Amino acid sequence: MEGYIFLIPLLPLIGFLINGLFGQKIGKWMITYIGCSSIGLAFLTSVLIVYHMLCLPVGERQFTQVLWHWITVGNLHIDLAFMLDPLSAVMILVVTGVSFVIHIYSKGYMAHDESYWRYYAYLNMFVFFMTVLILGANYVVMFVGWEGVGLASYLLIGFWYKENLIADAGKKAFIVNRVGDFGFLLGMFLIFVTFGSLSYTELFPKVLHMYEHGLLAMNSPVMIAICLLLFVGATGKSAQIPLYVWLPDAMAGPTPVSALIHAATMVTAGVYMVARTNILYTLAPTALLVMSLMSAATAFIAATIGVLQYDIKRVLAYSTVSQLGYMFIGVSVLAYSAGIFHLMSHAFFKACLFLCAGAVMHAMRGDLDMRDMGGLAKKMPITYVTMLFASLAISGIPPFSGFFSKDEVLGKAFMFPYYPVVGKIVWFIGLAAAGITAFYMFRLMFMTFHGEFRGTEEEARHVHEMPFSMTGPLMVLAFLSLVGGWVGIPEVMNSLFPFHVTNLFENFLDPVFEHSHEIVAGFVTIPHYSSTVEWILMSSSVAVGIGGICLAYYIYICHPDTLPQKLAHTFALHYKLIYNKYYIDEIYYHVVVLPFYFLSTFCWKVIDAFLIDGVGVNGQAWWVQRGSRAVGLVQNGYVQTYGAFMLLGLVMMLWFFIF
Amino acid sequence: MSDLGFSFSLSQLWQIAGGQLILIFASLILIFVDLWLTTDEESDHVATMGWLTALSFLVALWYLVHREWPLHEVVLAGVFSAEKFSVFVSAVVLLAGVFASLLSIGYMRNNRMFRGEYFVLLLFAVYGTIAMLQAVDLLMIFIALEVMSLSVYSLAAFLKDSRKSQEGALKYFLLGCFGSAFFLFGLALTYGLTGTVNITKIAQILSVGPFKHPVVLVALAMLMAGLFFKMSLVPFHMWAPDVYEGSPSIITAYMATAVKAGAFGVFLKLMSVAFTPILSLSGQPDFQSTINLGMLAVYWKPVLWWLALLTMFVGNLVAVSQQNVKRMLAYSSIAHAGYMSLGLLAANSEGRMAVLFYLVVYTIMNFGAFGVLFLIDGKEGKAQTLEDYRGLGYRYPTLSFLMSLFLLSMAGLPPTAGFIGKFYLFAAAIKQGYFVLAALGVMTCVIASYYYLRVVWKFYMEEPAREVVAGNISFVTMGVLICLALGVMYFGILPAGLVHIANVAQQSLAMVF
Amino acid sequence: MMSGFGTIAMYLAMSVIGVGAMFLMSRALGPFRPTPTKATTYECGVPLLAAGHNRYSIKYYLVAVLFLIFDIETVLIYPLGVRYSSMAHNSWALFFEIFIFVAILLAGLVYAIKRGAIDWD
Repeated sequence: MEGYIFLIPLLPLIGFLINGLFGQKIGKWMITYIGCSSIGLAFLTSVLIVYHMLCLPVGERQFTQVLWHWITVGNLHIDLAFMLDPLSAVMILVVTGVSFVIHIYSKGYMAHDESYWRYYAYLNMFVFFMTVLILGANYVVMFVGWEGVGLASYLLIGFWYKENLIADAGKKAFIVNRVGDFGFLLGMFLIFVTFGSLSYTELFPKVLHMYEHGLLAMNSPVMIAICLLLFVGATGKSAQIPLYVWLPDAMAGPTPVSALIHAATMVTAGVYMVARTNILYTLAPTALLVMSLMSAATAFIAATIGVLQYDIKRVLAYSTVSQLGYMFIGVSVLAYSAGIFHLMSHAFFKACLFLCAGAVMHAMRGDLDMRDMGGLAKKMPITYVTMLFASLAISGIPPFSGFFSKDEVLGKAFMFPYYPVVGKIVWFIGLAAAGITAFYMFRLMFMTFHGEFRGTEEEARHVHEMPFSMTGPLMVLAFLSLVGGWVGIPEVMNSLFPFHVTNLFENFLDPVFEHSHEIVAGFVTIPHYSSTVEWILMSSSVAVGIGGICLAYYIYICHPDTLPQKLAHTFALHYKLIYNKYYIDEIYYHVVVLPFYFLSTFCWKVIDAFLIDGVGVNGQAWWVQRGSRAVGLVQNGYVQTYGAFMLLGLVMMLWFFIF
Repeated sequence: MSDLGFSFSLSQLWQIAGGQLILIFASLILIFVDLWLTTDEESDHVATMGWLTALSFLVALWYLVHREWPLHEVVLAGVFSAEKFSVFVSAVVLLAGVFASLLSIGYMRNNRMFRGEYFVLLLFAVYGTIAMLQAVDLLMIFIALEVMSLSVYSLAAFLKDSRKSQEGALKYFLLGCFGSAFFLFGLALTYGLTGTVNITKIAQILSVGPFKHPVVLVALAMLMAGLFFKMSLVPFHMWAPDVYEGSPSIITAYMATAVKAGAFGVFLKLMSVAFTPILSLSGQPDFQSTINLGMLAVYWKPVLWWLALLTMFVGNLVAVSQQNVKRMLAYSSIAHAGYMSLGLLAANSEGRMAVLFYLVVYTIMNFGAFGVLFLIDGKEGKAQTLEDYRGLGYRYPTLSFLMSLFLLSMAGLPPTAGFIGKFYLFAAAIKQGYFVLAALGVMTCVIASYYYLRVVWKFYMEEPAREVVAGNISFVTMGVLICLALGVMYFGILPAGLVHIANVAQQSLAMVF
Repeated sequence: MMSGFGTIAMYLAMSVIGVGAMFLMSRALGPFRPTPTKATTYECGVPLLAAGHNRYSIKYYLVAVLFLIFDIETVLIYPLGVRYSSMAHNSWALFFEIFIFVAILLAGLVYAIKRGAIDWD
C-alpha cells in the first residue's frame, strides 16, 4: 500500500491546479465538485492505507515512499519522500477527514462569494501542503509543507483583501510566522550540523544509538538548543506565547477557514512536529521544562482573555490558543500520545464550534457580537444542539471526547517524570484554565442561544436555520465530539464497564513513542500513583468544569442584566486588563514594532536609500550604463570597423602566442 | 582509396554518417516537393514543408540516438567519427532544427512570407553543422562549415523587404568570409607542417615533432580565430548584434543556438583531440605521446581567459543599454557564449560536461524566448522594443509568463535550467582554479539579471504605452513553446539524467583516437 | 622566438616602412593644388562617359552560378578519369559514386531551371 501514499497530497494538488487555473471558467458546480471530491478521495485513500496498516503487526506499521532524490549537495542528501506511521496516520485521517467535512460546509457558506473558485483553490492548496507537512519523511519536506500552509493561511486570512484591516491581519499572521519559521530553520540546520541527517528514518535511530553508546549526554546543550529552536517554530505556527498574537486577528478570514486552518489542522502542526521529534525532546529535559511552563501559561492567559470577549469568533480564537496550550502541555510532559489525542478531539469539537459560529454569523448577517444575540436556540435548533455538544466536549464533561483527552493531558502533567513539582504546578494551572474554559464557553452559549433576542427587528426576521449542506457537517462533527474520545478511555475506568477496555489510542501510537518511553524509564523512576489518585484528579477536573458551567448559568441566565456590570465595576482594574487582552498587542507594538520601525526607517533612509541605492546600486548601475554606452560606441554599424576589430583580435592573439 | 590507409565500405558509411545521409536525401527530396507541391493556400504549403522538415530532423535524430550513440567503432575512413560526443552535440543541433522548423510555420504565416526553400536551406544548415561536428578531418570540417555558413547567410537575408535583414546578411557574409579565411589559413599552415589534415594524425605528428615551432602556434591561433568568429567571442563578435537583429527571429534563434553549438562542439573536439589532447583511451601506443601537447595550453588558455572575460563583460554591458528586445537578446547571446567558454577554458571533464549541458539548456531557453518574441512581434519589427512590452502581462498572460520564465532561466535563477547550467560552468572553472574569472563572471551575471528582469518588470509593473497586437498563435507554436517551458523547468529540477548523458558524451572524446 | 619569423617580420616591417615613407614624402615634398579637372578619374585623356560602377543584369550572375555546377563536375570527374584505371578493383563502386554526385548536381540544375533561372523575361 505504501506505493499509494503519494496520492494523498497529489489529489488536493490536482484539485488546486484545476480550480486555480480554470476556476473562472468551469462554473460553481464543477468547482465544488472538484474541490470536495479531491479531498474526499484523499480521505478515502488515507482510510484505505491506514486500514491496511492496522492489519499489519505492530512492528511493521511504517511505510515510506521515496518519490525521487531531490537535493544532493556534498553529504546532504534529501529525498522527496513520504512516511506513514501511526502518528502521521492519526494526523492524516484527522486532517483529510475534517477538511472534507469543511469543504462540504463551505459550499453553503461561500455560495454567494464572487471569488468562489479562488476560495476552493486556496483551500485545496492548503490541504495539499498540510498533507505534505504530515507525510514528509524528513524535515525539509516538512518545512516545505510548513511554509506552504503558512502561505495558504495568509492567502485565506486575507481572502477579502479589499478591506485594509483584513489584509493587515493576513500580513500579521505571515510576519509573526516568519519569526517562528526562522527558529525552525535554525533548529533544522543545527540538527543537520550535529547529526548529519534530516531524514526521520536515519536521524532518530542515530540519536538513539548515540545516546545508548554514551556519545550523547542527556540534556546536552546542543539538544536543548535544537529543541528550543524547533519550539520557537512551533510557537509561531501553533500560536503559543509569545507568538500567539496573530491567531485572534486571523479570524478576519472566512469562518470555515478559521475552523479548518486556525483551529483544527494547521495550528496543530507545531504539536505534531514536537511529537514527531519526541526522541530529541525526551533527551532535553530543560527544554521540556521551559515548554511546559510556557504552554501552561498560554493555556491560562488565553482562557482568561476569552472570558471577556464579545466577538464569538474571538472567544473561540482565544479558546484555540488555550487548547493548543493543553496540547503542548501534553507533549512537554512526555505524554506525547496524550497531546496528539487532545489534538484529535480538539479538531472535532473546535471545528464544530467554529462552524456553528459560522452558521450563527450567517443567520445574523455577519454580525458577530454576542450582545446583539440571544434566544437563537428556538430558531436554530440543530445549530444549538450541535454547539452544545461541542461546548460540553471542550468543557471536559464526560462522556464527551474532550473529557478523555484533557483529563489524560492533565493527569500526565501531574505525573511529569522529569520535574514532579513543576508537573503539579502545571496541572494546577491547567485545571484552573479548564474551569475558565467551561465558564467562557457557556457564557457564549447562554448569551447567544438563551434569553431574549437583543438585535434589531430586521435581524430577527432574517435568523433562520441553515441548509443541509451546512448542518450536515455540523452533525457529523458533533457526533465525533461525542464519540471521538472513546478510543482513548483510560484503563483506570475499567471497573465502570462490563467488558475490558484498553487505551486503544495510546497503544496504537506506542510504536512511535516507545523509544522515548524507554529513555525516560532508563533515566528516572517514573512516579506511580494509585488509581485513587487518578480518580481524584479526574473528578476534580469534571467538578471544575461543572463549576464553570454553573457560574456561567448563575451570571448569564439568572442575573443577565445586573451581575456582569456589577462584577465589572467591582473588579475594574482586572476587568480592564483582561478586556484589553493584557495590552499584549500594545506592548508588542511599543517594544517590538516601534523600535523595529525606527530601525527599518533608518535602514531605509540612510543605509538603503542613500548608501546602498544611491552610492552602491545606482552608482554601480550608473557605471554600468556609462560602460554600456562606451562599449556600445564601438558597434557603429560599419563593416570595416568590425573587420578591423577581428583583425586586431587575431593580431593580439598572435602577439601573445609568439612573443 | 586503399592507398590512404583506411578501409571503407558502404555499410560503414551508413552506420557512421547515416544521420547526415538522411538529411541530404531529405533535403534533395524536399527541394522537389517544394517545386511540385501545389496547395490552395500558400500557408498550407509552408505548413507541409515545415512538418516534413521537422519529420526529417526527427528521423535523423532517431537514427543518431538509436544507432550511432551505442557504436563502438566510431571512425570512418579518417573523415567522420560518430563518438558519443559528436552525436550528443548533433542531437542538440537537430533538436534546434526541429524547434526552428515548427516555429517557422507560425513565423511565416504571421509575416506572410511563404517560401518553401527556407526549409531546404534550414536542412542544409543543419546538415552542414552535423557534418562539421562528425568530421575528424580539418578539410571536411572546413567544407561542412562553409555548407552551414552559406545556408545561414541566405537564411539571414530572408526578409526581402527589410533593410536590416539585407544589411545584416551582407555583413555576416563579408565577415564570415574573413573568419573562414582565418580558419583556412590555419588549416593550410597545419597541413604544411604535418602533411595531414586528419586531426588525430596531426596530434600524433605534432607530439613527436617540433610542436614548439612558432608556426604551430600561428596555425592554432588562426584556427581558433575562425571558430571564435562563429562562437561570437569578443572581439570576433561584432557581426552578431546586427545580424541577429536583422534576421528572421527564428533564424536568429537558430544561429544563436545551433550554429554556436556546432562551433563549440568543433572547438572542443579540435582542442581535446588535436592540440591539447586528453588521454587517449584507444590504447594505441602512437597516441600515448600526444599528451606532450598539453603544453600548448599555456598559450591558448590565457588568451581564452581574456576573451571569455571580455565576452561576458561586453555582451552583458552593452545589452543593458539596448531598447530593442531582439537586439538585447543578441548581446545576451554573446554573453552566454562567454559563460560557455568558461567550460572550454576549464578543459577538464567537468568543464566539457558543463558546456554540453549548457548547450542543451541554452538551446531550449533561447528558442523559447525568440518564439515568444516573434509572437508578440506579430509582423517582424512591429513590437520589439521595451516600450511595446509594457503592461503585456495582463493582455497576454500566457505569452508574458512564458517569456518571463525563459528570461529568468537565462538570468540563471533557480529552479530553472539556466541556473543549473551556469552552476556547472562556474563550478568547473573554479575547480580548475580560475577563481578571479569565475568571480568576475558571476558579477556579469548580476548585470545580466538587470536587463532580463527589466523585461519582466515591463510586463507586469507598468501600464501599456500603446496597443500591441500579438500575431496569430497557432496550436503548433504554442505546443512547442510549452514543451520548451517544461524543458526549462524539468532540467532545472531534475538535471541528473542530462548531466549523466553529457558526462558519458564528453568521456567519449577519448575514443576518437 | 625570433628564429623563423624574425627575418620575415623584419622584411615585412621594412617594406611597410619603405612604402609608407614614400607616400608621406611625396605628400610632404610635392605641391598640392587640386582643381576639378585634376580630381576627375584619369581615362587616357578622354573625357569620362559614365561612372565606373555599371549595373549588370542579374542574369549574368545566374548564368555564372549555373556554370559553376558544370565546372565543379568537371573538376571532380577529370582527376577521377585519370586515376580510374589504377583503381580497377572497385571500379563499379566508383562509377556509382560519381553517378550519385552528378545526379545531385543535376538535381540542382533542374531545380534552378524549374524556378525560372533561365527564363529571360
